[in-house]
Amino acid sequence: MTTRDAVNILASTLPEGVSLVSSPGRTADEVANKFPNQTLFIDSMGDVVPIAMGLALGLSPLPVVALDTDGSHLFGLSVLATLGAHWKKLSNLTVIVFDDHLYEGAGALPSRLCSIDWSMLGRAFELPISAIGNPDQFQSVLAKHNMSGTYCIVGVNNPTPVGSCSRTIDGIESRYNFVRHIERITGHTILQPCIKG
Amino acid sequence: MTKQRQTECESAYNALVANRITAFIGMPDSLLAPLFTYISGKPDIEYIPTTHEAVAIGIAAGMTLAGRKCLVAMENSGVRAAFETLTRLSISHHLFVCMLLSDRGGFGERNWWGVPHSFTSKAVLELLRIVNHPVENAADFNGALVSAYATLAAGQCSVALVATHIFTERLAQG
Repeated sequence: MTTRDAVNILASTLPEGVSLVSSPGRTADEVANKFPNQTLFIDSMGDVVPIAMGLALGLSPLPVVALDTDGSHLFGLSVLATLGAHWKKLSNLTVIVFDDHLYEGAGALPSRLCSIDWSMLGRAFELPISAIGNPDQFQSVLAKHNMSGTYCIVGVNNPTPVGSCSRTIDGIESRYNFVRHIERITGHTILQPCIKG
Repeated sequence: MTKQRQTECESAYNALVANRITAFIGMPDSLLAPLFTYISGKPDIEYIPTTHEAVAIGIAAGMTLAGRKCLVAMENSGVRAAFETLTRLSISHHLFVCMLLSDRGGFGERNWWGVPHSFTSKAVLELLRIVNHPVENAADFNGALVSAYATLAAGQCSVALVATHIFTERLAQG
């Protein structure tokens, strides 16, 4: 399964109006093709899941999906204790980690030189992490959980090297786009107008 | 003595409630510990402890983006630990948060290991253009929070309230 295959499966499963937070690189490019106006694109290793967790707590019960990658996820493992403590409150949060075992954007060097038992890592923090190996399994996990408390590591293998970034927006424009999406789905004004005086 | 400590923590807590802050996110430190302890047992504000300051900043950034008022609390050295996250989120993404920092290493610091925290964290706040303001006691905390969230709502920077030694001693000793 490639990252594109996985994102296509997601696109066929996710409800309309879902809010996404995406890691950079290939993942962001594929997500931008499918969810350009409802995704917060984050260029910061290790911060995707904490931001998505804060969004999920702030937007509950509206669904939020964190689309992380193995390098970024390993960078930010400190979030696991906090996530584990609050997981029962986070039924609107889905965490998906695309795992190609590589720092793809940084010369495709390996993201680790040991094997990782993700499910065991999850159990250590009371998190139901499942490792997904093929498209059918991914589709079935998404369907089974129906966007409720899913946390999976999706193995991906991309045969072609990642190209140059195709998106032309920066982090600030992404933030504005995303805030307008939040305002649309909640009906609340997030960015307040200036006041006189 | 116990009554006084409760009064200072209770006043600070009441200021948070009056400002409609619904989440207190952070990594406990010894100077703010009385306030962490007090808030952790209260129902009106969700207490979210983290194991790294960067995680607190990320959660608060997401919550703020969703329109929920929250406060990150940590020792001032936390801005150094979370420097990468703060830099990328605030400068590259305009994702801002409001923080309460203890002033470890400030005027009156007795511990040798604490001294560098104050001047290095001040440099970090300046470097990241984080608007900061000292708070000397719980009575001033309410007004400082009003101003802090007004600045945050302007949407141009993060904000830090710095709890001085006077404030943290009052929290600890009454």
